[in-house]
Amino acid sequence: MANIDKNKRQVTIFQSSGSECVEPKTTDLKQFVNIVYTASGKGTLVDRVTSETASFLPISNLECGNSYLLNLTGVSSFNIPGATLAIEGANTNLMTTLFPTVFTISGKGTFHLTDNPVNKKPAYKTVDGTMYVWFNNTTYVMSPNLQSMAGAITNASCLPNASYGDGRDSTSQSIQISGFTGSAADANGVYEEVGYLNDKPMFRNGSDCSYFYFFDGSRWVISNMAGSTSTEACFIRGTSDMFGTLSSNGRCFENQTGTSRDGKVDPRSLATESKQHLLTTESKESILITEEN
Amino acid sequence: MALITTNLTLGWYGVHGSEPCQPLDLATHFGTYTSGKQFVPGTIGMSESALDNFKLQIWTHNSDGTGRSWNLFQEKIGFNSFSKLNCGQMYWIVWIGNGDIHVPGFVPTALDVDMGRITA
Repeated sequence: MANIDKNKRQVTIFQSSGSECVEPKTTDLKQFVNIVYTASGKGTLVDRVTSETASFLPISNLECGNSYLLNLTGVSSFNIPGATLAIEGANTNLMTTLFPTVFTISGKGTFHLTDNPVNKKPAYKTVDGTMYVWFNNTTYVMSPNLQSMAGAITNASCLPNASYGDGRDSTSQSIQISGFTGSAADANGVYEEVGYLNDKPMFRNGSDCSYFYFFDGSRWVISNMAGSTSTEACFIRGTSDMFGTLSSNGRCFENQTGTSRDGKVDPRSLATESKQHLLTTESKESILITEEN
Repeated sequence: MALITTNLTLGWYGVHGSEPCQPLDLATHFGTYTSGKQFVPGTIGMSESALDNFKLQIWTHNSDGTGRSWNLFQEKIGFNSFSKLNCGQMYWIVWIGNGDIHVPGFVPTALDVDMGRITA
C-alpha cells in the first residue's frame, strides 16, 4: 500500500507490490487524483480523468505490472492498495519480472525486452534489429519483422523463451513438472525462467502461463500466483532442493503429488544399456523413459 | 538490457537477478563533457549529435513530487539535477532520435501488460 502525501502535485507509482495483485478502480480515486497517465506502449501517454465514468474509457483500473503517473487534487492524503510509491527515495525494492528481460535462443541470437509490446505481451528484439520475438495472440513468434509472419517460426507458447524446436532453445534454465492429473494437468510441462524471487530464478509454465515455480525462502513451490502460497500450492517439503516430489497438506490440487526436474536433462540420457527398464522414484512415478517408450 | 524503440516510455529501474542492482550512471552510459565542453562518448557508443538537442530526456520525480530531467544539454552546462538511475525508482524516457537506445536494468511498462511485481 502506498501512502501518498496530499502536498505532492504528482507522484509515480507501480502497481503492485508483493505477491498479491490488487487493482483498484481509478474512479474510486477521484477525490484524490485528477488524472491518471500511463504509457501506451506505442510511444505515447494514455490518460484517464478519474471523474469520468464511461465504461469505454481507458485505465479503468490500476492494473498489476504497470507504472502510472498521477496528478493529485491535494484534498487530503490517501492510500492506494497494493501500490508502490516510485518517486525519489521512496524505496529501493526491485521488480520480480513475470517475463524475461533478456534471453538467448541458440542459433538465433540474444533478444532484449523493448518498450513496444504486441497483443498485451512484451516484445523483444536483437540489438542489430535483424530478428524480433512477439506474441500473435496465440503463440510467441520469431520473425525478421515485427508483426509479420513472413519467415516466422513459432513456439506454441505464451513465453518468448520457450523452445522454437530443432534445437532453437533458450540457453537459460528450465524446469519440467510432471505427474499432476485431471484439472491440474495444466500444471505439467516445461517452465521457463522469467525472473528472480528470493535470490533464486523464478519459472513460469509455457503452455498457458498460469503457474509459477519459485523459491519461497525455504522451499521450492508451484503456485498459480507468483510469489504467493496463499491459494493452492505444492511444495518440496523438508528441503530446499530445487528438484523433487511436490506435495502439500490438502492444498496441492486435492492432495495430488507431482515431480519437478531439470528441464534441460533428457531422461533418455540415463537409460540403461538394454533400454528395457524404467527407473522409478520412491513414489513409483516413472521419471526415465527408453527409446522404445 | 531494455531497448527503447518508441518516443516515450515509463518504467521501473532495477530488477531482481543473478547480480545485485547497481545504479546506472547516465554520464558514463550516454556521455558527458570535459571542462572544455568536448563531448566524451559513453559506453553506449552514441555520438553527441545522436543524443543532443533534447533527443534524449530522462525524467523522474523528486521526493516532493516535482518532475526533473536529465539530458545532454543540461549535462554540458552542468545543470542536470540527477546523475543516476537509482534502483527502485520509476523513470520515463523521451526518445526522438534515430534507432534504439539501450538502457540496462530498465523495465519498460505499458497499458495492459503485466510485467511484474515489486518485491523486497
